[in-house]
Amino acid sequence: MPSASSATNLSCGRAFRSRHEALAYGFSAPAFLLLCVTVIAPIVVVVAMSLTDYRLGRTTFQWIGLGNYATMLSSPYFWQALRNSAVYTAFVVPLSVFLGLFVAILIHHRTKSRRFYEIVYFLPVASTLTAMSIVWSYVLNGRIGPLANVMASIGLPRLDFFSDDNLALIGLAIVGIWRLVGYNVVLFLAGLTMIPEEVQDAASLDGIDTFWDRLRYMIWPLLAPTTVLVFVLNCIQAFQVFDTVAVLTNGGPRGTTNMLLYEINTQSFGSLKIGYGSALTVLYLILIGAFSIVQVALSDRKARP
Amino acid sequence: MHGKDIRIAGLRKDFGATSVLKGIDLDVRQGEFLTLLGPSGCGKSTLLRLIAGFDIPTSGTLEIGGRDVTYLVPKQRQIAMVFQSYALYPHMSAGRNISIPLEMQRLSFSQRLPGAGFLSSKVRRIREDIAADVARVADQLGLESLLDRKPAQLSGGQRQRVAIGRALVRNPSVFLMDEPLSNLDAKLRNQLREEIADLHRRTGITFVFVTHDQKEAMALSDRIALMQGGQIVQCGTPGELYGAPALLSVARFVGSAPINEIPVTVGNGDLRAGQLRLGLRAEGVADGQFILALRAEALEAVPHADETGVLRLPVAHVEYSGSEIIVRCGGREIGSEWIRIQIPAERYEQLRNSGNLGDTMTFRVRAHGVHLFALSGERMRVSLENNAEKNGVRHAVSV
Repeated sequence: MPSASSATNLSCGRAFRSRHEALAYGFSAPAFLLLCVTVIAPIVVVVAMSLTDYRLGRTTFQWIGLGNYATMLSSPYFWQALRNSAVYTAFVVPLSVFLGLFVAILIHHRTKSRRFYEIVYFLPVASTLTAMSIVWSYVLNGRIGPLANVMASIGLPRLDFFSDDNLALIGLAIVGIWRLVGYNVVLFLAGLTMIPEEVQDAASLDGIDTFWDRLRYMIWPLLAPTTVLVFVLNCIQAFQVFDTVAVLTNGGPRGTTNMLLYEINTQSFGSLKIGYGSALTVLYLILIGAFSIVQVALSDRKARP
Repeated sequence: MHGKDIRIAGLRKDFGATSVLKGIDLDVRQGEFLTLLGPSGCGKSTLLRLIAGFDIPTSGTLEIGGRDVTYLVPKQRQIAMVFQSYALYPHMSAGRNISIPLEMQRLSFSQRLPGAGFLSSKVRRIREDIAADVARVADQLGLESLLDRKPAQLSGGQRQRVAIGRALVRNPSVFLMDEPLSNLDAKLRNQLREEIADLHRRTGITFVFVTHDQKEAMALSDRIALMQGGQIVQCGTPGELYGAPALLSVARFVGSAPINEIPVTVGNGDLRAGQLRLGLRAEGVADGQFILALRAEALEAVPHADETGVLRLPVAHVEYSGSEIIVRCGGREIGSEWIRIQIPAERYEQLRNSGNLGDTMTFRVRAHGVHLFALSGERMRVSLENNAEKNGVRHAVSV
């Protein structure tokens, strides 16, 4: 009987499909649970704590609604930290992106020495930033630092970066750029290898063969998706700067290098105000999330022809 | 006619210890359509890249139109090239892809800066000229309606046309093409092949075309340079390569159906395959072992096997291709794995209906399309004669 057999087939197929689905959920469960435990749950907890007056070590707390946020918006330290983070980011990111691209283009066509340069530029990324910060504190030191010695020998004033109100942020930015350039070089090199060889040949035939012309007509437009990615990643990393602040300046002198993440740390674990620190963290998460959304939106637009 | 001749002398290219081109000597005449034909890895693309200037030869010289260009950068060689992958700039419209070589050629760096057109009437005039040239080329290639589209929005054939337009717009004196048709489907390939032939005839530009497809080479070329192992093994018209291959490997490479190879012995000028007399004579050839290469059409199907020089072989497979039919026979008894015989479709029907072609097939060897090679693979310079044809005895087709 054909109808009966087809009905059996159908129910078999349905059973098979539901079993298949169950299996698929089973396989994705570990990843889902891990995501909940390590990402989603902490965010929920932080948002909840930002609405309380909890202090580290206490056993009780009270819900105070948006009180922490009100305190935050009226705190001069918060605004100074936010401004410093913004200035630092605005200074570090464009320079890191341009220098990274510039170095990547220079290295890209080296055949034998390419590996060497890749390693040299990637070393800062691979090294421990805390340890490297100590090296930088020596390099940029006004009394014993080699940079100050060089400047003094040509008659310029000895600059002591980390004890000068106006220079401390620049000193941190130099270290930040030093580290980000290597990171960007690697990403841009990956982007450059994606440009087909035949397109590069065609360009050299069409007269697009000087550095600036290649940059303008070929590399820059073709690397646009990579550049957006690098730009956003750099913004996030610049906003996250902490190690160098903690090691080199402790936010000083006079709060001129107090950044958002450092302020979160000071408030939460220095002053033990977990509730207030959580409110700062929520704002920080919103900012980082905004960067990521911009990146997704831009790369989505690029993907469509 | 503004095509220029190319003279290549003693061109070598080594990559590290491996030698990719082992001394190439080649003269391409003014306005000629020359094809570099060969299997992959034979060095044909490397040679084209040297002509284009993407690579510098290890030694040797290269002249275009009497000017030594061996060490000139690509843009100074007055050449244009069409690539296998089209190599269009993906972020530019089709029109911009075509106009960019002219912009680079006619405008200086500062004149190309944004807004230069507002400040200088000269720049405006040059840009108008460029637009006119682009329109002219687009009209030639039927691209007018596509100029605003990005390459991703174009079909393979349209992209290829844009690539040709980009090459053509600069009025090159040499046109290089690196397997431009291999990414297209069969029908489009035939259409674009005809368009390329027309383009060559119309412009009179010297064409150097690279392909591994012998059919394409035969269809398009004035001359073909067949390359194997980094050397040009034979250079001549398609007819010469097909009709008088200099080496067995050339005979194998040229021709649609694989060429039949039979080991033969020559004794007193008579050719034998094993114990069988083939009815062919090779006057003036010393006795010994040779290889006889026979085109599929050099074998003539006959009704009976009762004469000398007529072979009977078991039929393994019959392949229809419209007007011609290729019968593949097992050739073990004459020392070859397969023997392929090409016969017209109507002749095949006649033989089948008269019961002379079924499990076995009888045929004899004609003298035309048959080549004798030494065991080393070199062609024996001898004209083969067929006894039957010489005596004027033709087989009457009795059906």
